[in-house]
Amino acid sequence: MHHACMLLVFLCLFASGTDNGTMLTRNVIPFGDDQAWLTLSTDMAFVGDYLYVVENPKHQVKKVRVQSTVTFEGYLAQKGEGPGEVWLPIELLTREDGSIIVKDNRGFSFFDTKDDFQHRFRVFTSWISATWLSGRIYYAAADPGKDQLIFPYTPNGKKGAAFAPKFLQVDTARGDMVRLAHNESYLYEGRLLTDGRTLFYLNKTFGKAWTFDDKSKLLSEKNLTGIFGPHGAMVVEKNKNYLENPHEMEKPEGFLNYSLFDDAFLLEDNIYLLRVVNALDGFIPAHKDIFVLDKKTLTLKEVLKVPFKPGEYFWTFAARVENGKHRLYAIIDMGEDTNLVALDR
Amino acid sequence: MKTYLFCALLLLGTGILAAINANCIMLNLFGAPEIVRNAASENAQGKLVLLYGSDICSTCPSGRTLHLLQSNDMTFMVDPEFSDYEIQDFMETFQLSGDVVKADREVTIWLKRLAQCKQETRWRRNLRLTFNGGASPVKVETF
Repeated sequence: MHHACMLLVFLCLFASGTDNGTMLTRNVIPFGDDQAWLTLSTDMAFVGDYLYVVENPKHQVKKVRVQSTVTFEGYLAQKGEGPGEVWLPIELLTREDGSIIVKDNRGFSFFDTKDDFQHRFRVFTSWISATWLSGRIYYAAADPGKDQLIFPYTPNGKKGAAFAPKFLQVDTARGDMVRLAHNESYLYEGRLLTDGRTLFYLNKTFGKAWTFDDKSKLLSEKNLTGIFGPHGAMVVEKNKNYLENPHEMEKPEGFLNYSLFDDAFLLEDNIYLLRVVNALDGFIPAHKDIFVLDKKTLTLKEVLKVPFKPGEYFWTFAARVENGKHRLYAIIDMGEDTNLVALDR
Repeated sequence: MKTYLFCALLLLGTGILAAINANCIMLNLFGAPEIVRNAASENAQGKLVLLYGSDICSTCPSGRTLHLLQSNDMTFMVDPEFSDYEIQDFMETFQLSGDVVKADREVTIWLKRLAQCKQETRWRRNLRLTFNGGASPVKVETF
């Protein structure tokens, strides 16, 4: 699937010149048993002590318990095409009761609070991001046949009226719908987040940020590029070039992805953005930044710095409240090992 | 050669006459499930698309094929567990205008055998059948 290709062509870009910020310490949470070992993840979600981890290349969603050690609790879903099985899972949606919905290559699979499979429905448009709000799945997808980006679905798969108008002038006269869908899925790449009342769309390539209420009404609009400094402007310039020269995105050998951030996570009043790090301009920085935004104003509150060594990788992270404070976790590929790491002040 | 013989025997066992070339299976509709025969007879020069695969999305390899299948004489046969909402979403996404029918168990068995004959490890591949008129050979392609 194209997401795997995106990972293959993925190159980390553009460290900020920001020197101010809080350097975090990394604390590896040891695995308590062999089955708890995690591999590089595309998404992860906490429900209390439990962490659900999408192991995309292995076609499975693993459940572990995170305390002083990481212990294996089972699989929410494993590889397959039958009910309750997944194929290239990519994102987790958490419902209010803590139950999980898995977005995979086919669609959305619903599980209950005991991790038992309930039902699923298919979607056919190309995934950008999804979240759960007020009894509906909100699905951002690349559909060249539509003028909007976000599609609400009821749990039984009924599609509602699309909203969030496309804000880029993509050349739709190029004819090949697959190519158009592929290009749109890159140019509109972003994350949907929710705090249970408001829906956030944060675009990775041009910095567009929208908030909507749960009736799809636009509440606010902002551009986040400035937060990322001069490198943010460079990312947008690169993507404008793709927009004007779409054939650059259609090379059979792939193309370079220019993103402002890798992943975003919302917890209480904070939105955390895992900022993309530069590997193109000749140096590997010693840290990877997490920008903390105020969810109401979408303004920068703080920069957190994660110590980061050459050859290490992580693209996703999650946070939970521990002892009244936010604690961030990432699954970091450290070369020989992949570890669950708590990021502490 | 053994594989070809096996496939021929397998298909003969189900009443389908088969011949195989490097890229596809040619078979007569004799012995095919009724739903397939009906689809063919209604559209003597038509095409039947059997959608069983998991890779049905607008940027998956199958998407390219589906985006090109917009003619009215096309019949799309889907897994019986497809809901009406899913069918609607599918047709809308690929801007298709043909008919959609839900397959049954007999078709599923037939598809599995076709997949075995094509040495597919994943039998739930999507198939496109092109009818050349009446009960004459059918060209079967996977995508």
